[in-house]
Amino acid sequence: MEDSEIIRLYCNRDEQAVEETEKKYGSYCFSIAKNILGNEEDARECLNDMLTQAWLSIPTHIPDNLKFWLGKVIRNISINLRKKQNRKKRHDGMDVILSELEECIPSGNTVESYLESEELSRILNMWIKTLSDKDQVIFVMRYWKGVSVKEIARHQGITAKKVSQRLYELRNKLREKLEMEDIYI
Amino acid sequence: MSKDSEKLFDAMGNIDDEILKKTENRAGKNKMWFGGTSLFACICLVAVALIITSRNNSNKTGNGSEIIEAGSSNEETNTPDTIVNETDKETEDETEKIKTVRYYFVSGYGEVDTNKRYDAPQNGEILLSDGLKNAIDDIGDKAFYSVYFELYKDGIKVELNDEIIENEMKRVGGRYQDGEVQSGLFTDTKEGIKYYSLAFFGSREQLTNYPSNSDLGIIMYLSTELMIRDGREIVDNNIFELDFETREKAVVCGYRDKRVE
Repeated sequence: MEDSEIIRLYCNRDEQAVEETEKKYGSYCFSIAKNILGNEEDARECLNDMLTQAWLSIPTHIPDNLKFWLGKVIRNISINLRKKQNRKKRHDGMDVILSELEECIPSGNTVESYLESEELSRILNMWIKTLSDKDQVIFVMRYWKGVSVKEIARHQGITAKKVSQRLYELRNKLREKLEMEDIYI
Repeated sequence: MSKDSEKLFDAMGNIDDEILKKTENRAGKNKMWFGGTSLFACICLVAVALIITSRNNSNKTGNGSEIIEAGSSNEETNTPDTIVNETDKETEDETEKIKTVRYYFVSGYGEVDTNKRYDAPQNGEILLSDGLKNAIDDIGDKAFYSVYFELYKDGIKVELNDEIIENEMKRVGGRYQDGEVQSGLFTDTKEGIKYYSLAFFGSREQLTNYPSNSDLGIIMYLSTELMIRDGREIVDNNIFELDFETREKAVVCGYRDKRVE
């Protein structure tokens, strides 16, 4: 079913909208949640929450792109759930992603001025757009979708070692960019 | 782990749709031709197409879109040589003409004899299935091929696993010339069975010169040929027939447009 048709169902308050959303984007969203949370039960819970949120949000908010909007919603829900679970039950995969991102944080600065998340997103967006297509895919798959290095390698037809190496270089580039912009996170 | 990295990860959540769309498209392309699940899905429907499609001479694809012919062969380069697309790409200070060649991946050719079993190849030997041989003979360099491997050790079939696949991929460096060696772990959702595959995507020349493995024998099948023979699950995806003006109509599981200078 076309996205516009699904949105029309939401607007008509037809519950089939939820079914169609799950049918079309359920596995896509589920994989994002599972990458972040590391277990299927929690991911399923997030998927249900996302469907509820979609039901409550549309038509007040009509997404430009339903797929990516849902992706962002479930990503946020998953991150929040993970925060709620609060360090006790941390998922290894997510820990690894965060420790990787640690390398992007400019060093030698005390955290005096905090950058607003929106501004940080704006800079990230600008920076990602300067990357080659392939680098964009690798970076977004890893740090937006939380996909494992091995899976990215399979996807891209290159070795896992090459992906790790490329990610390492990209993190360095991002750190340089943030340092250059004099940004403290 | 600091809150800073969490903040950075959170900030990634507001990435532009434009970037997501672009990366999704590119990732999707790779996935379609070289990835696991989608490729599998692709291949599976080829099986359906082989069974249900009528052999007509229409110049239309199975899903209704118009076929672009793969073009005549080029004996010297062994690659399809028809320029199928020319687009203008704006660069910083000029408009660049982009030329691309469309490479189809043939994944099925002719009827599949589900009872056919080949003699086990000896270590270091590479055999081609009938379907693959026929396709190569008839289509030659007009297309590329989507191929699945069966491996044999001392004449006994080897069940694929992570280690075996990794060794084979390492042996050929993941790639062989411009061809791609890929592996995948698939789940048959009906039967709940998981199985591995080792696939190769390449030209006739790449296939026929694939380096032998002194420790293993290899049988190469067209991917759907093996799927059908093994009765694996059929799932939905977009595949289509392509008429290469051969005795059989080939089933194609996708294509890749490659830029040419």
